[in-house]
Amino acid sequence: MGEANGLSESQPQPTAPITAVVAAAEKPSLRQSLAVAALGVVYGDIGTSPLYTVKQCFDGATVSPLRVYGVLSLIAWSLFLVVTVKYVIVLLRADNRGEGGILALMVLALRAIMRSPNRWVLWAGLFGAALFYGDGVLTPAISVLSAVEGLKVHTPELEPFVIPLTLALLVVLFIAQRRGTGLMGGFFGPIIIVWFVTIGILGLKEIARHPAIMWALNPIYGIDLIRHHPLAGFVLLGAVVLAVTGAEALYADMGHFGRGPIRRAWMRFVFPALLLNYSARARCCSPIPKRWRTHSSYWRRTGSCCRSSCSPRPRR
Amino acid sequence: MLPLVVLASTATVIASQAVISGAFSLTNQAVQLGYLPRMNVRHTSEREIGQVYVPAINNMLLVAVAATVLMFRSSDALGAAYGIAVTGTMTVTTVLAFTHLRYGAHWKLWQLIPLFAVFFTVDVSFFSANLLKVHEGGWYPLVIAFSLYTMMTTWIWGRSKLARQRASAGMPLEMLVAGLKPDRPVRVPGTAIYMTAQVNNVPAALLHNMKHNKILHERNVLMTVQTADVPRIPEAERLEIRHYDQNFHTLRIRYGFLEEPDIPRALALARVAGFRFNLMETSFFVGREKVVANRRQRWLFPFKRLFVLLSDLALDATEFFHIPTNRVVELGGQVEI
Repeated sequence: MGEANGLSESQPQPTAPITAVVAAAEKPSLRQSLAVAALGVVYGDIGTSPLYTVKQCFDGATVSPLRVYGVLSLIAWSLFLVVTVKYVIVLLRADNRGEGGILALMVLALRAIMRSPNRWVLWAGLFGAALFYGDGVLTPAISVLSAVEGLKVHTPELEPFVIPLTLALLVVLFIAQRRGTGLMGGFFGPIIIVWFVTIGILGLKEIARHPAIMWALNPIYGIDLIRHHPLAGFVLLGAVVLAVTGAEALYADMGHFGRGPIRRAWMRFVFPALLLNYSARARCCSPIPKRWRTHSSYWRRTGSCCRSSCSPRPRR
Repeated sequence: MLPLVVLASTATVIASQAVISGAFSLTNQAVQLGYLPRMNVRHTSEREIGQVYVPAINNMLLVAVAATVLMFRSSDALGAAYGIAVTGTMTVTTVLAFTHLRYGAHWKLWQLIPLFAVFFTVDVSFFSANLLKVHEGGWYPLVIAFSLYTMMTTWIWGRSKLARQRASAGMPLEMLVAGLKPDRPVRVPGTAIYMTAQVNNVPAALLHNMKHNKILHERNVLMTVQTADVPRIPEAERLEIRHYDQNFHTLRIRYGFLEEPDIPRALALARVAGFRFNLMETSFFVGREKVVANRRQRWLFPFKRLFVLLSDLALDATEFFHIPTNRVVELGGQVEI
């Protein structure tokens, strides 16, 4: 509790806490450390999605060029629309004086329609928050479990120890939480930076060899895929969504780091690295398709999954 | 190869941090808004007011996550359960964001409609694609969500019901003050601060003092702590003091939902406003109400039991408000719900 007292004494007149935080964040060193910590905490989820999303998208499906281009197009545009536009541009503005997340948003919405007291906003907000806790139980379970399973792929002798090792890691992870989100971020941030640089470079190398894949960023391929195969396309969306599942947590974490560091990290670093890696993965994780008119030469060259950019993947 | 494996695995472990931190933020807000029972919340950063750690949620998450791992045993099995919760939250977020931006921030409809038509289409497509997996495991996060939803709505319902009961059963302070005789009951030296939910009504602890101890203190202060729906309240607006006859006073202390209530500090603030407290001559009276479920309205009984359980779990007011424990007198009592 001593820390809390220290907090209130160090900020005796917090009439405008957010501007104070922003001002503090303008100091370059502070700003950088906050951005690094924000990267580690906020973007770990979205950042590791390439490990399983692309694979899920091709799971059990016949691979055609239409599908490869369509999948990449859908992933890229989901990232753009959901993460960039909805969460990073629009929702990061909707803060209840610095705090984000669905409850803060609900308070704003309640305040907005004060004149006609609508209970549904309260019920909807509470249900959304309850669902967020559901996600809070699933995400750590699935992510730590798949991390250990990933190690198992490399070292098959680990097989009998997957569950005990997962539980041990979880205990360590949760015990460490008492040190605070900032410290967790300070520790995780540099690792995640190395991660993004690595997947970005691997992606770039692959794209340099086959730049034609960048055509898939055209949304028409995604729309075509859904138009031609509505049913398969619908099922596919269940896999594409894996690319953006971390976005809600990004918004909920706004209070921990402030809007600036979260936004800058996404626009300048995370989003480009992810686009590069998804493009490379979409191309090389797909088995060789039959002839396809314009890009046939490049498709024929692709053998089995090229290892360089599909790093061994813990699966989700 | 191995470094890549280790890097990928480490990054994958880190992937869970976002949602853990988010759960702390969310819980802190829910407690301050009165949607969850009071819990110990620690602020872990002096710089960022929103960096919080909630031990109780941390422990519960660990247990729930470990149970989930033991239940599903592989990430493939968990994959089926994954997705429905987060796409559900995203859809609700879109609806609430529209409401806020339209009616609160007054965005123009021509700006909002195209944007939110896209958001909503994407959300609903993702959510319904995940509905296909409900029978494979998607039910699991839904069960968690429904239990938490029940917990929060029960807590809100019970608290407002108790507040209504108190309001209708209570005696207005003015009435008590007007009816007091100068010599009876005996006034003893010192200050009594009564912690209460509503300062307009005479708290049960004060009535107990009069009825069973046959005394009143020289100076009586009815104090209430309120949480506003903004993160912080400026110190200048923190206190609202009213004076009544016979040395009765009411003191309303307001906090933002990000602030941690600290009563000794607030009393120091009152001194600046000319309202002095000597902590050594001040007693805090806290009504310690034990909530019991009655058997009227039988169909509500499970919810009443849940509310009783939640109130037992809630952190004591004294601990939550940082009242010096050696100055606290607790007067018990029972309330029925």
